[in-house]
Amino acid sequence: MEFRLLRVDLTRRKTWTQTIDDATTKKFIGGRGLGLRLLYDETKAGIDPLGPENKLFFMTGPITGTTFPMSGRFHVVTKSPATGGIGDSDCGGDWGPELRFAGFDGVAIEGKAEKPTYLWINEGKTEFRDASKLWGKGVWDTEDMIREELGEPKAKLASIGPAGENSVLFASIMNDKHRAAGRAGVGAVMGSKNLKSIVVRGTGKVTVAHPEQLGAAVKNALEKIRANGLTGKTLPELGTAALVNIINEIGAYPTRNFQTGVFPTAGRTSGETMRDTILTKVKPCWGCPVACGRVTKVTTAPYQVDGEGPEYETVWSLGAMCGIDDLNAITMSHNICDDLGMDPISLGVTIACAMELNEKGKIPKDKLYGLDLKFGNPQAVVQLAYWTGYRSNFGDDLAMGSKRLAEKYGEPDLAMQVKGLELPAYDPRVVQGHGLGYATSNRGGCHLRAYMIAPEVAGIPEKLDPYQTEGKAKWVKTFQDIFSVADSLVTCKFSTFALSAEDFKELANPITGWNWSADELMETGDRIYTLERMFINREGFGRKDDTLPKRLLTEPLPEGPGKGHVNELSKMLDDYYNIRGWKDGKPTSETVSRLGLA
Amino acid sequence: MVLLMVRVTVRGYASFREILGRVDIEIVTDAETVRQLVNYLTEKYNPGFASALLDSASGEVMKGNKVLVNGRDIDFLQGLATRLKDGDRVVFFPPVGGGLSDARPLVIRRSSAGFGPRATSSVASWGSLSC
Repeated sequence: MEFRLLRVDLTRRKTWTQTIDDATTKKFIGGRGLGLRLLYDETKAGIDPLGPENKLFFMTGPITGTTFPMSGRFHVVTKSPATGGIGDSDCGGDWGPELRFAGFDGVAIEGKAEKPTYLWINEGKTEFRDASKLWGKGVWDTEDMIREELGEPKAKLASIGPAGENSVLFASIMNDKHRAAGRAGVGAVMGSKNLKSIVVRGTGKVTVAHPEQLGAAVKNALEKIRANGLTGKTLPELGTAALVNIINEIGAYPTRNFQTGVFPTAGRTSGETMRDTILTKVKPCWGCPVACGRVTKVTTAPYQVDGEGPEYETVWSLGAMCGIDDLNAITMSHNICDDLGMDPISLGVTIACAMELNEKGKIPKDKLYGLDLKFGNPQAVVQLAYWTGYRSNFGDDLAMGSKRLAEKYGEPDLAMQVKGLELPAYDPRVVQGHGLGYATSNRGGCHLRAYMIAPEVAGIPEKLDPYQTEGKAKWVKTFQDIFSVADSLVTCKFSTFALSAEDFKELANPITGWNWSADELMETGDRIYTLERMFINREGFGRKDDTLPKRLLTEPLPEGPGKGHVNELSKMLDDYYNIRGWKDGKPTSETVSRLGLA
Repeated sequence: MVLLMVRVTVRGYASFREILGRVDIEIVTDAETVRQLVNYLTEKYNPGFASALLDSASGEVMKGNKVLVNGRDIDFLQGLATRLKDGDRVVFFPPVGGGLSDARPLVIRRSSAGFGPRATSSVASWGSLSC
């Protein structure tokens, strides 16, 4: 299956089309994997992530825009300004399918535009357009203004807000106003190129190799998705915030910068509370039968907002992580992040770090302009969200992320991050295997490289004791590999709760014509994950970086079910390297050869 | 004969909260195990509780449902034979942390083909569900 890549040189204002051959796509699929292959080959180690020499790939996969369930996504791949390593992020919404309907499978951005620009891709034709009057605008206004300017109400956009323009190191790229390629600062890279938006409109069709075989596989997959407790019931009904209560009950709900794992009033921000208070509609991404998206409205002062979300991660990062249980304030902060184009996980974790720094007396008063920066103050979080997006006042410090912030104020161990990327909403002192996933994640602190919560909490595909370390390494590798495939096909990771590698094979083969076995599919995931590792090795990452914040390794949880536990990473890490065929965090030459990466 | 009584806190989430009818229940009981507690709750609060929680054939916790004692899944303790002690907290979850019982399925409206943009479902279609 060939991949039709639109090449865009912003410096020379040129576009052309490259066709990537079947042999390459079969090895790296599309999305995250193929984007990585291109980035690895076309950029050199040590480049400035925010310089014109960095490249930014917007990639769909072979299933995007087909009847494969939950396939309305795209993947962004670049070098991360937050970590200096691989920076890739996945996005739902409606942009990915539209790009394929417009005749392209991906867009590769290089160089830097002389002035603010947006790219208009209309039914296979491209045009550079002036974005000067859009610069400084939020994501929501940007979408509305461009659609009006083009007279194309059905155009789909991938845009940045002020955070991306201002090089906030965790700026996101936004689609459909509320869907985000949120992590690793991909929006800052887009902003560094003076690129405000990529706008697409297409009415073509996506062709598949064997459409007659696809129907039965899709029917089977849809039945499994509907029958699955998570994808068929919990996510549609309660959204991702359904997780709040159970993660809190097991004592793994990071609270006040991971100082404890229990937040007594977490229920005020749960999926159930959201449904009973601020939810107005549920909303799916393109072609999704699950519809975990929440359309919400807060009508009471002082946090009135009409928007979407929050999701589980943002309920936590802008909530319990900062000691806050005010769902209205959290919803407001979340929507500020959407409009200004920022990752709410990294923002919340960075604010929590700042709160602890301040409570320890590390931040000079004159930095805060009178802001009462303490845990439990929702007004401070809302204010800091604005300040950070615009890099004003103390927001200029927060825009660097938690690692640089904590280093600047002399307490580097207070940053809850791995490899420079802020951690998500599960305390690895309870969920041990999930901690190994954080530590070995190529892009840094991330729950979406190996979602060990599935087996360690939800019992999917089988129930594992969260406190056990033995045998977890193999599971982490399996999740990392299948998620690499999911991100490269490109499908929503929630589909992996209901569908196995065997199901993926049955769905993907009629589309690609590759006749994969499930083993080949998993080996492809291994290849992608290993090449990512080679990318970050090239940037200097190794065993020393496959770790967790000191707090999680040495400070036992003070209360709750996990009281007395730390994460026992050292019991799992060597096992993990052995299973991967890596040594000290680097693939061996045998592994590189075995996976065809030599 | 002297019965040893224990004071435990019980919480049901989502559908189990509906079934038990209250948020937190403080109970003083002579139940010695989780199974005996389930029987007690079924007798005192809702005759449908055990059938919603347990597999009718095996008598064990139905796949997907989760019972925690002090934050630990009883599958990693002694299952339904896990012994209770004074001050324990016992919570019941339907599959994966939330969701409603099978008796009250959610209706999601879809576009006719089941695919395509804007296949939006409305909260109104959820009827009078509440947890």
